[in-house]
Amino acid sequence: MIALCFGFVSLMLIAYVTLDGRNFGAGMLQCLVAKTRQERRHVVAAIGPLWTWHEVWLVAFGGALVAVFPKLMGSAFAGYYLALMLILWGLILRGISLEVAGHINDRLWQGFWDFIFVAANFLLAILFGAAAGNLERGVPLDASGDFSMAFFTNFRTTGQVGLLDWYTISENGGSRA
Amino acid sequence: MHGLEEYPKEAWPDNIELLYYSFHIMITLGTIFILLMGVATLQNCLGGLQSSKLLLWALMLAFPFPYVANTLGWMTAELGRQPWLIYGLFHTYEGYSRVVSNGNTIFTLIGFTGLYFVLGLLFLFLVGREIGQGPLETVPPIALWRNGRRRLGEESLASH
Repeated sequence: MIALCFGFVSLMLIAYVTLDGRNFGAGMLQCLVAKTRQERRHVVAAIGPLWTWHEVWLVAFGGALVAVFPKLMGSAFAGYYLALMLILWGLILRGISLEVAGHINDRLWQGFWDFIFVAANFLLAILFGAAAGNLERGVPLDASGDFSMAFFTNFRTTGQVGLLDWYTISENGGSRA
Repeated sequence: MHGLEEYPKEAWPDNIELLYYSFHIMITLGTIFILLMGVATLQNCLGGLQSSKLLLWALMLAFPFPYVANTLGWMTAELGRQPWLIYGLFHTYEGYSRVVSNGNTIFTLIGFTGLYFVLGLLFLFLVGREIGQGPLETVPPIALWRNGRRRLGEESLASH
């Protein structure tokens, strides 16, 4: 039963990463591949009308996680608190920039929202990557199953240096465990 | 159903007044919306909606209240379930995170407040701009819909 639940929850996360990862990629590439307004519209059209549907997989993943693995949900959301809040803001900003940019036909207005769109997509990709990468290298769970790490760095070279810290040469080699 | 009177007064939550008024104002607003839209629909069917000034003013001035009712509904849900996070299973005081510091929550609270403030301004700006441009078509939507249906009917006749 646990294996089934785990598979189910994992499937939702994989579906989200696959579907919305494509949107992040398109959004990040927009600043490179789209120079004219027409080209930018093509990029947004490639993301399509479905990008809000893809976010539903993330919501379903969170909802299923709290139902079947509440302890995991609790420690992950507490440990990744700042990163997840920034993800939420990134998702909000990406949605707004898509909705609002077309309302006013003005270069400054559209340039501003294009910048927000690209920046939000970069932020989202980096933060989801940081969450997955920190899971991969292992987070320091304490006796009660919680963990707490600095967001950028804790200015140390040993132990867990920070969620987004890839630039510290840590004392105990690459593992940083 | 257990009433509040069955519990000792010391065990009562201290948000009862807020809960009471948010729930009752929400229900009052909902009832007003139903009545207002009912009267407006009736007038529209009788063909008098476009010319009844009082009703049009009432409809226009009613636009902020769905937002109020929506917010009050959230407040009812969040206040009314106290002291539970998950009813009967999980208390609110059990739901706090040991590892999330005060500073973190204050930072995110400020961030959300700022983001929603900007969103509110954007909404007012864009809607105000839309209103300032005025209606593009003077044809009421119901007439457009009827015309569309008639055209569809002609096409399906022509294809036979």
